[in-house]
Amino acid sequence: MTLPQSRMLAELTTANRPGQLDLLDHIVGLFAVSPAVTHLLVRGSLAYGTSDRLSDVDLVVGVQPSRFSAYAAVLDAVVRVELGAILPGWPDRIVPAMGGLGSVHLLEHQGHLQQLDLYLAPADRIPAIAGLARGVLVYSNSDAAPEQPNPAVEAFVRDRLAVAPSCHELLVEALVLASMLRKRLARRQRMMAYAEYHMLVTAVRSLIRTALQPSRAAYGWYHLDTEIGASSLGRACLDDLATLMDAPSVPTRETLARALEVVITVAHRVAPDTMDDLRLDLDAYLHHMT
Amino acid sequence: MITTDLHDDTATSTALIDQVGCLASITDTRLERLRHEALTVPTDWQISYEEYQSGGWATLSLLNGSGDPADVTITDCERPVATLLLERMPATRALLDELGLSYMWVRLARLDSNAFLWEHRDYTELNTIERYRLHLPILTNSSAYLVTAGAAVHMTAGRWWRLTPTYAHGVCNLRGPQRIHLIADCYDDEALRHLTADAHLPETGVRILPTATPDELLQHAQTAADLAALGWVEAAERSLLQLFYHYALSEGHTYDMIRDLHAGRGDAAAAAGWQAKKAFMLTGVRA
Repeated sequence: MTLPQSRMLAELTTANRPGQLDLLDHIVGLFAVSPAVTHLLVRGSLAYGTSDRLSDVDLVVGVQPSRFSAYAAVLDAVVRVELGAILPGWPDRIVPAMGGLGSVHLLEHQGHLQQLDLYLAPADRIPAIAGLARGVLVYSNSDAAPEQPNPAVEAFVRDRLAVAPSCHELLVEALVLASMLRKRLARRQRMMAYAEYHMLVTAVRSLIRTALQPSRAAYGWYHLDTEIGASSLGRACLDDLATLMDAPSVPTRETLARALEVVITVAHRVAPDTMDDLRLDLDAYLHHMT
Repeated sequence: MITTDLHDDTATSTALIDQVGCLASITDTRLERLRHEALTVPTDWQISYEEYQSGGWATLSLLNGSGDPADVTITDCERPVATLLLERMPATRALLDELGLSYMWVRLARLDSNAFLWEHRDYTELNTIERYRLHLPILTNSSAYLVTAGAAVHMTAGRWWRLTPTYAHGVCNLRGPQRIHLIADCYDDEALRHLTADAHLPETGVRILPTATPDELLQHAQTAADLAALGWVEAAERSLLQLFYHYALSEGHTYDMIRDLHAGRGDAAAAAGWQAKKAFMLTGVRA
């Protein structure tokens, strides 16, 4: 290959660089500003070299154990203010337990909806997570003094994960899952689409039960029909839920769009205040989803 | 849909109509032509007025003193000429010609998602000649709005809006997608008076912002302090500046909160800097 050809190929490679890498650069710069951050580890397809234009940005954030809870308390504010997340972060209940807390955020990046998965972990867990998740270390803070594991972090994480999700969180969960599903369908990932559609239906069921019967929110499907169906509002919600259950278990683009309409209908019925709070967020979300 | 809830608040609606009002509409067909031009012709958007913005606000000139679209710092200009950009946007040019206004400067302004023009006053650096600003939203979304007089005004696309930017105001595009407005600064004349004669508040799109309780303000101040303590000083400042778009606050209050944030951190220089910034943004006077 001649030198000019080589240069042209290099230019083409740069021009076709996945947009997520620019976002990743920006996020790494943002998180590295905080002296509490000890490590940043890229996971997933960007780390494995198998990314495409739909890929998430998937990042593990190592934090000094002594500042873990303070960091966790403001993380969503940072993502909202600095990265312009269009929805509040969803506390990730899918990610494997690795001693920290996961969250999923939807951002607008270069005019498109971009998923950002964060996993906040105490610094002492990072070596194990790096091995488990085959992550690529993109930042380490050489100024951070080594810290011993802090038992308070474990208790903090356990307490956070034990809190029952609110209507607000359940609606965001359903919206995030619908966004994930759209990507699965584009990639023809039927197995994952099946799993995530089931999660979406379950999230809608939890939303209904949390809103209408909060004292028995943890009872899942148990006696749902009799207990929720005691009022006309409850019966309307059960009809909506049945619409989701009767749809194909691996959605198509059309049935996913219909499912999203049902999610919004249910949310209007049972959680109007939440819908009002999220009105502008929802408009932006639907712009990208429809 | 955001609705107007001003029926029981005469004082706010009176204050508001002095500051912003909607005017005549253009046809949907014409709006589509303008939108097509705005999305396809402009390139090399210019970042300017950086002190006033978060980043994400960019403009290009259509009529100015030099004919160069990249010349975007407005000044008094009684005989503006079409820029090279406007010459390539015939539908936009025809619209401006038809109105026959006494233009001072005309720009296209793009506001990206999560971008803000912070609370400020305009025209403080210009002569005291009577002039008005007209906006024609070409592309917008529900999370893009103007805040003035304690109200959020979503300027709907396809109609002219009159803004009196000598009142304190700010603009946001919270969630995107991008917003594009045509902004015409015009000298007062008969054509302008005719166009703005029926300025009124719209039926929808205006929302009185809630007043923040002391506890809410304390909570926001604490979150900002926590962000700063973790090293995110700029995020802390921006989180406070953004309160202007969520609450009806007294003029300059967000700047005072940032000054207090830095005073609390023991950074007297930063506190003084934000005190000076408040004066500049709201009066145009540099300390």
